[in-house]
Amino acid sequence: MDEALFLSGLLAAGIRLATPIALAAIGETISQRAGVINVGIEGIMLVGAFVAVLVTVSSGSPWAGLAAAILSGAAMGAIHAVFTVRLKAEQIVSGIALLFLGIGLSGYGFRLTLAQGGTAVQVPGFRELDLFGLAGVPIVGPILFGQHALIYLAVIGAALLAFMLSSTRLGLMIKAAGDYPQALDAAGGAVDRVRFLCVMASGAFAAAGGAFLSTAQLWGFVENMTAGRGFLAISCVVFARWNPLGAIVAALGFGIADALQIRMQAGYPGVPYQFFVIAPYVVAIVSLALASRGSRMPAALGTAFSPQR
Amino acid sequence: MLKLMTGTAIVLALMAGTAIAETKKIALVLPGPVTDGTFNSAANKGIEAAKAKYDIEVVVRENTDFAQIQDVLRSYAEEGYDMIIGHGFQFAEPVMEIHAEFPDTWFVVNTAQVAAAPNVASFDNRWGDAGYMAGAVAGLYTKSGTIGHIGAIPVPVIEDYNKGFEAGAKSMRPEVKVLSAYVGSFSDIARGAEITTSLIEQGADVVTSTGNENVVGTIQAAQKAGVQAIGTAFDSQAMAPETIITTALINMDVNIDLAVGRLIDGSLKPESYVLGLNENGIGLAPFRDFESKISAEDMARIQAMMKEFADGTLPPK
Repeated sequence: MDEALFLSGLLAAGIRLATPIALAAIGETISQRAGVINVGIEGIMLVGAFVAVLVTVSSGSPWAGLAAAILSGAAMGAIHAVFTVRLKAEQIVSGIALLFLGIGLSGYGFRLTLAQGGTAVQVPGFRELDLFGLAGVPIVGPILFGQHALIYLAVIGAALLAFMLSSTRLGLMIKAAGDYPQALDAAGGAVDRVRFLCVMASGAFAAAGGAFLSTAQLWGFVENMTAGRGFLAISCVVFARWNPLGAIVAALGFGIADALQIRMQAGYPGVPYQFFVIAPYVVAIVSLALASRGSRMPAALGTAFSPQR
Repeated sequence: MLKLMTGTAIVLALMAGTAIAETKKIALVLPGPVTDGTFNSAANKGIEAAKAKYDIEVVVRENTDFAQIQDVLRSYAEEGYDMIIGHGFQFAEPVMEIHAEFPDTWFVVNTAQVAAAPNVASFDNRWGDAGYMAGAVAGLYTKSGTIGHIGAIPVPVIEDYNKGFEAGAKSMRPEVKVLSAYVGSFSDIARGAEITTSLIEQGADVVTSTGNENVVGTIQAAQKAGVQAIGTAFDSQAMAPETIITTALINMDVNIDLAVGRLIDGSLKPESYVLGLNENGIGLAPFRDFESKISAEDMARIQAMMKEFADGTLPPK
């Protein structure tokens, strides 16, 4: 029974740790499938985390906070899109600028608003659900039925996106924008418009990931609280070969590895803690190295589109 | 008329000029943001209090990476600051490297023990003693017999606290099980919370945490799980009144007040000042709501321990 409890705690923690990364990775997948790299999602996550807390505190509803975060994320995405899609700026450079913009905006906004009082504000954040009253069932209950609403929404969202990419006209247009924009253009599709919307969507998902961190997993904002999760999300995209469902699996793998190292640490006090802390990153690097073999990157990824007329 | 105004302006400027000449210029260099609610907030509050108390001009620099430290120190020294306070043991090495070039500037390092003539002093708090007090309270309060400490990164002061925590707990309850784990980051509050949750799953019902923002993660995880926490450094009981039993105080404002006060009255020496309970460098915050939840007998043992720290019987040599 002890092993069962250990396993259930491990998986539940793994899922919580994976969710912000998974949401950001889903967004990054859409953007990259359309041909635009967004390395600034870490900054967007921070803005999402801050806006979610701010609006949750002022409105009393975490759903309002989530909605506001998603809007702010889409707006951040639009900034990236203006530079990379409209003005054809170098995507990595614009993404890095976005990263610093996000760090600055969220930190400064926090100081202007919630940090004023000096004491921590109470955030009426999300609570875990109890679907069908089954969350109390031993072991599987908390994992399958007792998670945060956002986790179910992330899985549903990824499934819908995977379907959209593989089986719809819009999906085809997105893939064409990333793989062979000239063809999409020749067929009368608006490459830049598709890309613009996909980058905005990536911002919305990243901000939702930030909102999960600050209003579900924790209730509160601190500067730089994403601690590199946006970059892990980018590596999940590559590992999952640009498939949104795969990105969730990759994020979950990372989350469980992290949850496992956390539990191993206390069990083996003799081993230097650094070995445990780096474990999830080693998993990420090794799996990236394995996955990059035979990977199929969107052919026009990272390049601005200019019609050849 | 214009002449008169210009004349007044010049006189005013001269008066202001002489006033500034006497005002000491102090730079506080922080490794993190002033909004972290612990280590950096405490220093900022300390310098704010000093600004109100003494005639000083203060500049606070936040988020200073290790790699930037030397350049930052150098630029303040070149601008003629009278004292530069580096908040954290990581400032010790860069300070030692450059202090000789700027003999007119005092370099003060917090939470480290370094000193060099003519102008390097340090103020450290007895983190190990603070940990011992936290451990004693945790050892008396725990019902499961398991308690936990979640540190950010095992830097010297956090390791001292960790050792003290275990020793303090065992002094009250020799069979207590003390779990310990590290976050690997000062700012990753989500991971801090998850590590705390894992220790709670392993049976810990009183937890404590050291570092910066990660401490908030521990307190929230304890709050959600309905177990108790002991705060560190900064009395933040208002954040979770039903969760936080007490706080092992590290009074960073006292370090800063001493440094500034001694600079102004000229008694600052190139020494390392170590601040314990009697110097008000550490302490235990009021128990407030928990006063009634701790038995009179346990409370007497806590008070006896505090007395032993005051008269020097503790810490164990």
